[in-house]
Amino acid sequence: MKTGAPPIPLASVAMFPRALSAAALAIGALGVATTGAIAVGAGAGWLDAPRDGERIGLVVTFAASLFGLALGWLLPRLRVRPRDLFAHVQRPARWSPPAVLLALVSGALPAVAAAGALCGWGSRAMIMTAVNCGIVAAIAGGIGLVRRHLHRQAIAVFALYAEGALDPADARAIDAARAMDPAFDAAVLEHQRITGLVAEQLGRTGA
Amino acid sequence: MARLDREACVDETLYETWRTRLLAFCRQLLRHSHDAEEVVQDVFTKLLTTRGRYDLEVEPGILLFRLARNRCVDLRRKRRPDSAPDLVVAAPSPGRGAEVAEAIAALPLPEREVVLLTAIDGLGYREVAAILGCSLGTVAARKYAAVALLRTRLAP
Repeated sequence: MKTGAPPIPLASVAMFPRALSAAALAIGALGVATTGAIAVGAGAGWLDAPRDGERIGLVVTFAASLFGLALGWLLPRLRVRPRDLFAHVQRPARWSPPAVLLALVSGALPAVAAAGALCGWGSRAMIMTAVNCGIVAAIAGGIGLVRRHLHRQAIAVFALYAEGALDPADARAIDAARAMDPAFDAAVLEHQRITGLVAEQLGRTGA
Repeated sequence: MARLDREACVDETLYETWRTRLLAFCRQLLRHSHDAEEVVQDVFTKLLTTRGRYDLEVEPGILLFRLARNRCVDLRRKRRPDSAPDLVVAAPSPGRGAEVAEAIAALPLPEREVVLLTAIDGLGYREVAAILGCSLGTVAARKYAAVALLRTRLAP
């Protein structure tokens, strides 16, 4: 690290479009609201008759479940190991988009609905299962995104702190936490040791 | 005429000041000494041919490293997959030098760029972010990831 470089304030460390996290939360919230509306509607017998509102809800859920599934694919590629819970949620949720799509089609095509009934799975059960899976997938994906955002910010701040690039006022707060946590202190020292090894090696062979 | 002389003098000073550092960066990034030489030549040729387009009074290092890095990335894309590196990265050195050099060479490109820029030239995070065209946080996160990978590979 360059000596004498101006310190970096903590607030300037932002590397992930917050809009994406906001979008994830918004879609998750929308999914919850849709689930609630559908559950209330189902309780009141609203789902017994196919209506536009029901179909709109399904379309929204379909989009949300696709979003959740896309995140399940995306997060591991962003080098974030999903939590086990997230993986458990994503596994059944993979069936959500085709199931919701089938439910939507069955509303439009009586033959599909009849085939579903013959298989012993009525469209209502199919809809409710698919909706729930899709919503959970979207929420889990949103949480995964937010978690990734926070994790990336934390490791960036850690690197800046360990290399003494952070603004002294911000670093003091971290110093206090470091004094109370031997594991954190050891991690900082290890980071500095590796950085020193690299600087020494590249200083010797690089020039 | 006076302007041309001054520009030539500036170019010469720039060349003397930055050539070695650019070469070191490109050699480590490409792991190919001939390609690295070519890239550095290209960078200075580009500066000469596009005279006036760049403001060299302000932070010439950022501009030069950015040009060199972009050229290296282009070259890596064009390079055939079967072309082997010609550099002996693990040059004999005291202590764990060879092991460290191998570990650095094995880093993924984004992480390696950050490590090289911060270590070879001692650039600050802001400068590295400007060279790579990404945010400060991304640079710091890549540095963390690089150190984490190196820690794993250099574990006793």
